[in-house]
Parts: sequence; structure tokens; C-alpha cells
Amino acid sequence: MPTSADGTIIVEHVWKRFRADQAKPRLNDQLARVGQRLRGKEREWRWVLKDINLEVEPGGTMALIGVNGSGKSTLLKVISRAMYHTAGRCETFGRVGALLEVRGGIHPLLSGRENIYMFGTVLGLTRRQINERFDTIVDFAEVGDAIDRQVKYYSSGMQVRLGFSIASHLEADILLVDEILAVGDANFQQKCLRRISEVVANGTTLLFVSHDLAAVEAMCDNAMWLTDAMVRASGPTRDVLAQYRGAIEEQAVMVSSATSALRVLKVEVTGPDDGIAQSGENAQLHLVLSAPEAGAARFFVGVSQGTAMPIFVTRYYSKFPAGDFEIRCQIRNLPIPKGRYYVWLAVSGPEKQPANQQWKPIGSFDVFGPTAVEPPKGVMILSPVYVDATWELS
Amino acid sequence: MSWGFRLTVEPGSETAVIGDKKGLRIVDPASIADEPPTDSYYRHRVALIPAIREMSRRREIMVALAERDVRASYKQAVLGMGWALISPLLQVILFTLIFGHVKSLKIPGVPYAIYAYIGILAWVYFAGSLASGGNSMIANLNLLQKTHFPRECFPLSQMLEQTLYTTIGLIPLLLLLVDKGFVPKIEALWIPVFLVIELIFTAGLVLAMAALIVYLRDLQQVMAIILQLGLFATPIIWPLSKLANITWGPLHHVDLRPYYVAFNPLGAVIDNIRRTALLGLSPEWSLLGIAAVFACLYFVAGYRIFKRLEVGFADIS
Repeated sequence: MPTSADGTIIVEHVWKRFRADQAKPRLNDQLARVGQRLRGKEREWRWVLKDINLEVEPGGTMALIGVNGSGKSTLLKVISRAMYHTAGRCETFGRVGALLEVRGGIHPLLSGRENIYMFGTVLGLTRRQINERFDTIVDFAEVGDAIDRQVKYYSSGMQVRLGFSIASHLEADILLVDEILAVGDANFQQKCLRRISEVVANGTTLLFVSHDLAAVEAMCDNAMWLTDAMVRASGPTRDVLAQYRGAIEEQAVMVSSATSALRVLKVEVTGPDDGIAQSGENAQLHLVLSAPEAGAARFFVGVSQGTAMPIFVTRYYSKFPAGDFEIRCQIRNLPIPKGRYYVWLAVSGPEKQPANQQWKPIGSFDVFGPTAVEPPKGVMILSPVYVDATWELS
Repeated sequence: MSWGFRLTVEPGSETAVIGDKKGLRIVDPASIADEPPTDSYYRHRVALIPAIREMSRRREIMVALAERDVRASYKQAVLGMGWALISPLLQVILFTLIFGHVKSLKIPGVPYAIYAYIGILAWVYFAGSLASGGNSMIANLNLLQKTHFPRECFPLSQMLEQTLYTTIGLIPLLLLLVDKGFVPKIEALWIPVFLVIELIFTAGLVLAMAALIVYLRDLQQVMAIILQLGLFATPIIWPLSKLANITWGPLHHVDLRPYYVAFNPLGAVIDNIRRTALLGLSPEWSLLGIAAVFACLYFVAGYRIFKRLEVGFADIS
């Protein structure tokens, strides 16, 4: 019988370290290590989690975001008890189900059916519970008749689907999800998200790791942003994401302006009367570039929210002189809601040559106007375009 | 419905929170210490009894892991499970051909094939468990890093698997008994007691080996050598009584058996199975007692090594 505490995650001042020397489990490495310690050299450690605090109450949803190597997956492993933390307190209440790289638990030599029983048991289901869920699992995995075939003959997509299907039918009190959306096709990703929202709707606590910020925004009420093993910001998802995007793109802008052949000297987006850009009003994009020699090129300019693909792209073909030159672009009725946006630029030769400059953000601008409509939970914001619509009920 | 979330920053905590706007907390990285306070380090303490209770609660996992390996290892083979029968049979044929004619090894009234086979079965259980159980942690690192059931499940599931193979290995023994017209003596009923000693001893060594190999892969090779030597250093082809009266170097008519079974409890196990089942003698309790005590010591030591090292299993990749 689940008690009221089931589904709680408590992480208090948790620290985790790995060995810094990267010694391999081989005799000579181990002997060298023993030798170093005898000579009085302290063992060196690398901290991968520093003073992490987090608490999720039953039914809560929380995302962990951050660049690769920031400690998200380690934190998830510590919470799932697959790993032990070095210091602090880490507790979970109720059954913990972990979707961490779901193909790991699938044995290639066994049939799909055998794998469902094996992996299911390992994840903590009894044989009877698996019997009850067997058909649902097979249906969800969409493996059909292949269920009695050895898994090594499955496509990688089928393997992932099978693994996810087993792991997501645990009916755990706490669900830990690590980057499962990185695999599988778009269809399957959507299906996974739907399944996770179903599980969450049943009152399961969710801790979600993903680089897909749209998915994070759709799934989680709260977020925690980790950098260099530490918490950088935490709180409501939207606010944390804004912080995160800001930091990520500042970096991207710095990198791009340093390495370009065509240098970007100035990027400016203005609205009416050279003021701030406004939704639904005309906007002006102002680019100042510097070229080492005269030529001709196609300029692609895009506008994006976050690091995802641009919301819209326009193209311009022109000859340009050596030295500094200016490009102006008029955008009529700017179709994006209030927020911070990024300007992307790519330049390619006049013929259908490959682009000689990468597609990257070169600057940012703010838009004033109505805020974006928040979609219902579980819906991904894929095209955040502001549409000027008039509604009427008759 | 309220979605609960609370970031706990304890009063007096060092962590500085800069900016707090509608629940958003931004932490200043400079405020975080380089190392945790020394009193907050996690200490891994697992008492034996709760650990065994947890194991028995999760025994289905052990069975599932054993079942997985049995199914997987015979799926590729044409003869399938037949191999579990063939390999001990071949071994006994080989041993009988080589050692069956050695006069000094003969025991009156007992066919040598049966004599040798009993030793081989007891040894194969031990050796098979140690070989596959010792490698079980590194073979399952992938699963180990993603799941959280008791780690002992991996090596112990290998022992379970070997139990199955050894049981299958009893079939050639039955055939031998029928063929030679040999009826085991009533004292064979003591055998389960001896097997418990073997089980405890094996479990201790398997647990220690499984944990140590994670940190020191060279032990895989060491283990292979130990198993090869052990085949001859254990009274399988020779009787334990050979050690009863040793005169060598400084030793004059010394009974080495108590020391031997303390070092290798399998010696007492195998010898007593033969004494009771084949010769109809009563068990040698003094030797068995020593073997049992030391088997338990091996187990406790192995188990403690395992628990001590399990904290770092998932960190090693």
C-alpha cells in the first residue's frame, strides 16, 4: 500500500567524486597507485557533483538541464541508487523506475518475450505483474510477431522501443528518465513523451534529463540547471530555461564572431522609429559585415528562439565590395511574440556551392508585444509564432 | 492540484542564493566549497542479516539472471543443454583412462570411474561457480550502472546456474551406477550436510573474486591458474587419506589433513561424500567441523570484501 511519502525525492548537500587519475583496473596501474600513496602523495579526486540540493514531492515533475559533463546523468544514477554518493544525504521513497539508456538491459541473444520477463524482473516486477502487462508492453513496443525472434535480429529502433516499453510499464512511484529521446525516430520520441505524460498524470514523480528544451518545457514544472558539477539555477522551468538559453547563446555568439572569414561587425534589429522590435509591426534587420575581398554571395538570415532551428529564414543575393559593407532587411509584420530571439547567418557562394560559412547565431534582440500562449501540459512548442487572430463566437 | 517543489537551503547554509524572483533561485558558484564537510561523508554499512533478507526478497532477480545466462549460452549451440551433460562425462572417461590403472589410487570394491566422477562433480560445481561468478560483475557492468538491486545477485545467480549444470551432471553418475551395478550405501543421506559446507565456501570465494576482479582485471588470469592447479591439489583423483601420514623434510608421520581442510574445505567435503556413499563409513566429524568453521570464515571474509568494494562498482567503467 503506497503511503503518502511514496514518490518523494530528497537530495541534501550531495557530493560525488571519481578518481582523477583514471587508473585502469590493471595490475601495473594499481601498483603505481599504491606506490604513489606510499610516497605520501594524496589520492586525487575529481568532483562530479558538488553540494546538490533538490527535493521533489510526490507527483512533482523536475528537469535537469546543462551541457554534457555537467553531472546530470551522475545525479540520476545516484538517485536511482545505481551509484553511491560520496557525501550528503540522498533518499527516495517508493519504487524507483529508471529509464537510463534502455537498450542496456536488453540481451541480444534472447527473444523479445524472454527479454520482457528478464528485464522486467530485474527492474523489480514479479512474474505475475509481467504476465498482466505483457500484451500492453508488446503493443507499445510495436514489435508484433517478432516478439519470439532473437533481439539481435531486431532493428535498433525496435530494440529501443522494446527497452523503453518494458521500463515504462513499471508503475513506479518515481520515474527517472535520462536522454531517451536522443534515440529513435520523431514518431517514437513523441510516443515516449506521451507515455511519460501518461505516467506522470497517474501521479508518478518525474525527474527528467534531456537536451531537448522543448520537451523539458512541455514535461516539467520545475527545472534545475547544472554547470561544472554545481547547481547554477533552479525554479520554475520557464525561468530556468531563460537563464540557460541566455548563457548558452552568449557563448555561441562569441565563438562565431571570432572564427568567421566574413566578419560580422554589427547586428541590430529595430522596430518602428528605430525603437525596440514589436510583434505585428514592421522590423528592420541591420547587418554590418567586413569582407577580405570583393565577391558575390547568398546571405541566409534566420531568427530563432533558443538554440533550435530558426523560426523563419529569408535569403538575399548580392555582390559585395572588399572592406566594410551594410545590409538592411525589412521584415513586415514581425510574426513572433514577446521574448528574446537570435539572429542566425549563413553565407554561401553565388553558385550552388556548399556554404562556406556555418549556420550560427550572430546576435540577439528583444521583441515587445503580447506573450506567447502557453499550450496545455504535454504539448511541445515547436513553432512559437505569434499569429494575430480575432476570435468570435456566434 | 499543487505541484510540489522546494529547494532546501538550510538556515546557516553556506550556499549563497543570488536573485530570487518568483521561485527562481540562482546560485553563486563561488559560494560552494571545494569539498564537503568531513562529517557528511557517506558510510556504507550493511549488516549481514538485513542484507540476506533483502536478497531473499529479491530472489526472483537472481533466478531471472541465471535463467537469462542459461538460455543465452545454449541458444547458439546445436546440442543446447546437452553440453551440460557431455563435458563432465568426457572428463570422467579421460580420468578413468589415465588414472584408473594406477594401483595406489585403487580402492577395493569401488569402481574408479564412480570414485573419480563424484570428485569431479563436486569440483566442477566449485570451479564453474568461481569462473563464471568471478567474472559476473564485469560481464554485467552495463546493467550494474543502471539498476539498483542487491549486487550479490550477479555472482550468486552464477552459482545457481552451476547448480543446474551439476544436477544435470548427476545423470551420467546414475548411468555409471547402473552400469557398474553399484548401490550407494545408506550413509549417503549425510551428503546434503557436506554440500552445505561446499556451498558456503564457494559463495565466500565467488563473492570475493567477483568484487576484486572489478578493480584488478589481472585476477582473471590468476583465477584461471588457481582453477587449473586446484583440480590436482584437491583430492579428486587421489584420496584425502594420502595426507594422513606425511614424512617429508622436517615432518615425521604428521597428519596434515586438519590443516589441509582448513585451507581447502572441499577436501573434507569430497572425501566424506566418498566415505559415506561409496564405503558406507560414518562421516569424519572432526575434519568436517574444521572445514565448516573455515568455510564460514571464508564466507564472512568474502562477503565483507564484496560489501566493502560494492560502493565503487558503478564508478568503474
